[in-house]
Amino acid sequence: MTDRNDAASLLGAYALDAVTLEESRRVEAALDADPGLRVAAAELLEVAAVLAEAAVDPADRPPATLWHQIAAATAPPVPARAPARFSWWQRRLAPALAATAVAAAAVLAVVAVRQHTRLIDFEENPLAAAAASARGQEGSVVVALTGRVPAEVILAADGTGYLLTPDAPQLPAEETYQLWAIVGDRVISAGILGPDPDVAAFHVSGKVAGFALTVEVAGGVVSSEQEPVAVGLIEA
Amino acid sequence: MPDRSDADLAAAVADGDHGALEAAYAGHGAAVFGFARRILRSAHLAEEVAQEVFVRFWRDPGRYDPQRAPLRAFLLRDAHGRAVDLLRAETARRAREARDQSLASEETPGPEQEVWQAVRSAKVKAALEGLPAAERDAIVLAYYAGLSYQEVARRLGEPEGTVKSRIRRGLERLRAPLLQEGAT
Repeated sequence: MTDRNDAASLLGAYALDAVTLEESRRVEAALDADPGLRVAAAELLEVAAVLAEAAVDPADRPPATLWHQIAAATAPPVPARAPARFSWWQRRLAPALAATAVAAAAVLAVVAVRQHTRLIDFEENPLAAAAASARGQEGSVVVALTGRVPAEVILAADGTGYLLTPDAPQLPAEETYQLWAIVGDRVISAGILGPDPDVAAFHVSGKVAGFALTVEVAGGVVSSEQEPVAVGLIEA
Repeated sequence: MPDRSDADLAAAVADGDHGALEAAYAGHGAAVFGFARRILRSAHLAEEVAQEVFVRFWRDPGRYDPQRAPLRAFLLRDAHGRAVDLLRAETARRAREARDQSLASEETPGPEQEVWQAVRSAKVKAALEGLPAAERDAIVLAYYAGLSYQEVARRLGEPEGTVKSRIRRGLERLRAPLLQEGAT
């Protein structure tokens, strides 16, 4: 069978996603080379599109958390990808945390979780519900951030994260909380959270070693020179 | 937002306009989720599919060509492809488990009746019912149950080549009643 005939015989099944990956690649290669076949495929795909639409129920409503998950996974990168002027974190803060805060984190995490469960309305706040769901997922890490403003980060295996700060005092309008992630030897901004975040979603790529929370001017900063109000490391 | 054309939305997404992605989700998120749920019969897996569809659109908007199809059709096709991948992985997993338990069961899609219920449009249902049964069964099993044509052939006890032909002929036959009359 020629390549064209092979692809033509698969075209209907291809339009319905009923072919193997290898067959799909063969069809697509043939479509690239043959305008006539492309027209035939387009006609069959139009029918498949109507079959898809026929299975859509206008009453279907996705969970409110779905958009938040998508938003977190597609959050535009905060312009702090370059190594930040945070070298003091690695030199001074991180080793100190390694010696003290991490040891306390396991205990504080339990306290923090209980506090958050009490203070955040998980039914009314879809982000909080998404965070609660992420907490139980396989591969998720819960990090207690300790300091002046206790907080908690739930980091899912896909890099989606949630920061819970139910006890954070509301800042004046000209200030914002900003979350930072330690990724390898870099400190990157994970999100500008506003003056009263309560619960926020973010996304980070790479192996995260820990988080810090700072108070910055509204709009956030590319690199911080403020002392963190809370920090927490992820145990290796 | 509803006035933005698909081409405008796609161009804005390509420019990193997160609001455009949100507009695309507002317009089609429910359809993508609902469609995936019909195929997978699982709200949890449908969420996974819908998230992946929109994240892929955000990360690689060039895959969508506004000249070829409306954005909604593109997103639904993407959702179908991903849902079918999950379904086949799940079917393979169950088959492995069944083998492990010596319960020979290679094909575990839902019963045809349940699959058939995925079709909510009366016009599409009527058009499908107007097909010869062999073509209709092949299309419904392939599309709404997510079976490959090889699996459909095994299920129906027909040669694979016959099933391929029936699927194509059936789709060609559906084109007139579905696309000339507008059927959703």
